[in-house]
Amino acid sequence: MTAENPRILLVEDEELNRTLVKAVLSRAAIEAVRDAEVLDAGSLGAARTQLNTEDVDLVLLDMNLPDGNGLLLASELASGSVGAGRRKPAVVAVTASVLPQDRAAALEAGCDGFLDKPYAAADLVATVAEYLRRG
Amino acid sequence: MSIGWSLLILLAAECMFAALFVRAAVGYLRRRDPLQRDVTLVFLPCTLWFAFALTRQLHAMPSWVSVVTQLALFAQPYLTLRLAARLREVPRWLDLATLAAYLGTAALLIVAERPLHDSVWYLAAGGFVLGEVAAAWMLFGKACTRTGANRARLTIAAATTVLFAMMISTLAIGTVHDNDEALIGTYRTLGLICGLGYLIAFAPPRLLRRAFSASTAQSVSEKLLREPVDSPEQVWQTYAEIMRLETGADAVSVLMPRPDGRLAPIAYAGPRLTPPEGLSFDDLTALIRAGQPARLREGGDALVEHYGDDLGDDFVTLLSMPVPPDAEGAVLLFNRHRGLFSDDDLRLFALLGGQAGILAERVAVMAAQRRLAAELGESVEALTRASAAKSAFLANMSHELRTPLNAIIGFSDLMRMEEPDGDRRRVPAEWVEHIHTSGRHLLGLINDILDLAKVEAGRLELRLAPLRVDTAVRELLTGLSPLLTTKSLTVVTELAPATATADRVRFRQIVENLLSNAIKFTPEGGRLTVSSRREKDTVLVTVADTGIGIAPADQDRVFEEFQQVGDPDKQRAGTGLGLALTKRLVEAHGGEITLASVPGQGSSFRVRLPGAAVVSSTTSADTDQGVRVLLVEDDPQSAELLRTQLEHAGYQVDVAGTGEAGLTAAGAHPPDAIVLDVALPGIDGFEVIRRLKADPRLADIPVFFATIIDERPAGLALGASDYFVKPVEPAALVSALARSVAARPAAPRVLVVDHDDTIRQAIEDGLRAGGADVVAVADGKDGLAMSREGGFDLIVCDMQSPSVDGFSMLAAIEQDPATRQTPVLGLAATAGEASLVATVMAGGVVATAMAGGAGADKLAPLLGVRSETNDGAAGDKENP
Repeated sequence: MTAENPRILLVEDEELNRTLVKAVLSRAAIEAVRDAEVLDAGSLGAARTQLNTEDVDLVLLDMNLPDGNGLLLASELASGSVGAGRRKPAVVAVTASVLPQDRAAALEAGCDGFLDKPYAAADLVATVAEYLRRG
Repeated sequence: MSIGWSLLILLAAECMFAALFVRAAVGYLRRRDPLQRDVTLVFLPCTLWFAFALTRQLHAMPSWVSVVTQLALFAQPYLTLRLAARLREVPRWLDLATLAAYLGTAALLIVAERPLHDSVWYLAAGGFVLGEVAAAWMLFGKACTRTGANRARLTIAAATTVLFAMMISTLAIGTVHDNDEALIGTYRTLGLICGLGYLIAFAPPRLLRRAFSASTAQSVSEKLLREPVDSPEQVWQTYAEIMRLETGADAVSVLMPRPDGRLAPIAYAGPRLTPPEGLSFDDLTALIRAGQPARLREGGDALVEHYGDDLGDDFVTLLSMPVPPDAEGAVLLFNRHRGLFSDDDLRLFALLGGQAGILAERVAVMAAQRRLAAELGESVEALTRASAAKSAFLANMSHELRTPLNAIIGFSDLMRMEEPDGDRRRVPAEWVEHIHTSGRHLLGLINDILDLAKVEAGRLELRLAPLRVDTAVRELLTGLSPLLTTKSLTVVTELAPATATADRVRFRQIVENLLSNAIKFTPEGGRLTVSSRREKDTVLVTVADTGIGIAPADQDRVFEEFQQVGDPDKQRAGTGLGLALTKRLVEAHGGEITLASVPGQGSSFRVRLPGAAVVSSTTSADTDQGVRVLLVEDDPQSAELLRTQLEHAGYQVDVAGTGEAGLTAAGAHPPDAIVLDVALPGIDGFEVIRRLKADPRLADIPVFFATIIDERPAGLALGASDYFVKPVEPAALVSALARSVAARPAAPRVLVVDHDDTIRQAIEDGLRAGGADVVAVADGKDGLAMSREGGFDLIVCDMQSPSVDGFSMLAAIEQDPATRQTPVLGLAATAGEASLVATVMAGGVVATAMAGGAGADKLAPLLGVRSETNDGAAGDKENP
């Protein structure tokens, strides 16, 4: 893995979903996505540690995590209390909570985009590509 | 001049007393009221005396007139005491002493020389004063027990009586002192004041009466309105108490008309004098005498009999109480003595009763309004809560359904992206596994929702049969062992044998929900305690954990649909349906579920289900499938009765209405016993049993006659196990059935070990449908552990189990002396044909098995050997 390869942090407590995301991204037709290095974290605590120690370009953030709501992490990133001095990553909420109020809450917390579960593989790839390109 | 004034005063006093006397006398003559008579008598001496004194000023009077008037005058204290005795209790000695004093005085006056000597005057006046003071004391005592205007009137009467005594003293002293003008003037003035006092006390003019009434009305109204009241009953109670206080009655009953017009008590004050049941105004006519109190005795014997002879001489005042708009109630006042009440006063009180009625109605309306408002508030709150819960549920459901769908769509998407190889794609096997697991999870969610909807709609059908809960719980624990191992949970079981009346599938669902909840909420290394036991007519199953526990405030809510309790940020995955569904299922069984929990220490869920009547304490109770009885009976009522009795005893009952139908049913699905009527449409019961006994498959089924036809020898000769003539004693039939069913071979026990859920389920279902008792496990290791528990007639085993392969398993089974004798059927699946269908019938065994297309008929001989010779045959083992 070279230093130029983009880095994605996947914050997701369900192993099945982590496997899925990694499998989809590693088979993506878009090179930038395929080459991305995927880090993962199963809880908010683990994600904080990763973000404080690593430069990350994109965070794929689940909402229902065992130690709290993912939005907490989004707002901590936005306020700089997490990941201070590191590259500021784009944050995409990947969630099965798809009601309008959930989206509003995500935006308010500082998420840059959403990806609703269930998603097609192509949607995931497109979303990741889009935010990596923007970054 | 002074003589002129003194005379005028005398004249005025005389006029006053004369007027009082005439007024009282007219009142008495009009109504014949004894109280009025006594008042008249009190006024008489004064009137006479003043008339005599006045006349003497004008003419010289003969001395006998003087004697007579003096005799009359000195009777006044005694007459006043008699009046007081009408209003209250007067000690008998006092009465006698006063009478004696008067008689002494009278004798003295008659025999004494005229003009009277000074000492005679002093003696007579002294006796007079003592008598008057005694009477005044009695009246004052009565005044103290009263309130308002009556208290004032009685106090004035007492004071006037004392003044009267002073008047006589002054008269005596004045006469002794040669008719001292000043003293005589004083005595005459005092006489006038006394006249006024008596006027106010005993015969108040209309104007004064109105003032009294107004003040009374005001005080009563105020009291009524001031008392804090919450209910109409309380209003009436307050009214009764005010009535008692104001009228000084010993007891007050307030009666209101019932819908049928009869009077029923609504409040009492003082002793509770219950009126006769179904009292009406007609029963009281004798008491209605223009508001004047009558003695109870005058009201008729029936009333005396009801209230008791003690009260016979009590004064009863009946007041009609109009209650707006159109009701008429009554007030009954009981009093040992008379009150100083006029019609007006009493009518007023009754009218105030009407006000109390309005007040009571208002209170009732207000209470109803308050209740309604509270109810409305509550239902609004409940609706809001329900609505919020439904919204939350929808959001939650959506989230929960999307999670497995995400894996299904995601992984299948990935599969589509794989390079095709002809018409196939090569995909990682674990992706297929992920899709399968997620699909099953999704199915579980949907089933939960559907089950709940079914229970909610009351469409849940339970197949109730005797069920050994300890066995069922053990099987479930075996199934959950991978989960328990993952979290390193210790399971403590205290499973005493207990048979409940329950639906096998639903019971498993109940316990599985509780167990998986306990596993979910118990931290790693925790402990689960699972117990079962029989308690009287019920069976208790308890699942306790050392998990996070549930706060007391949340303990009721956990059973509500769509509720997940605890810290919302820490909610575990789940639909919030599990416990709601569990509770509904338990309740559908006629059971109950309770929760005891201490936050931080753990929770304990206790399920209580109706116990099954133990059919037999030995082997047959082990058959978890119900014992089936075929009832052949054409009369629906008899059929229903017998069916209820048998089901009550724990049997599963099928009913056939004709002999032919019975034979068909028995042939299609041989029951454990047949209960048969003789008189049937078409072929009769005797013909039915002939045909049953002629059929080798059915000949062994015990048959019991239950019939109106008394032909016991014929029935037994045809091979019936017993013969009951209707009406059948249920206990006798049930115990005969239990004996004969217990005598039959038990259902075969089969252990199924297969890691594939679908195949395992198919085998399990097939064997169960055939009547076998099945324990199914997924894992080879668990299978080995279960097999050592023993008691299996057959082990069906997947040869390609992932953890322990079939060959090692066979070797292990072969080695263990406990299992060496058990026949084993190994299943080798070839691609695409990994299915097995088995039908095993209890008793006469018929089985079909297909394993990998290699052939069928494998279960049959295996089980057949077992059940016929009752020993295993190693040679029959399928050992590839």
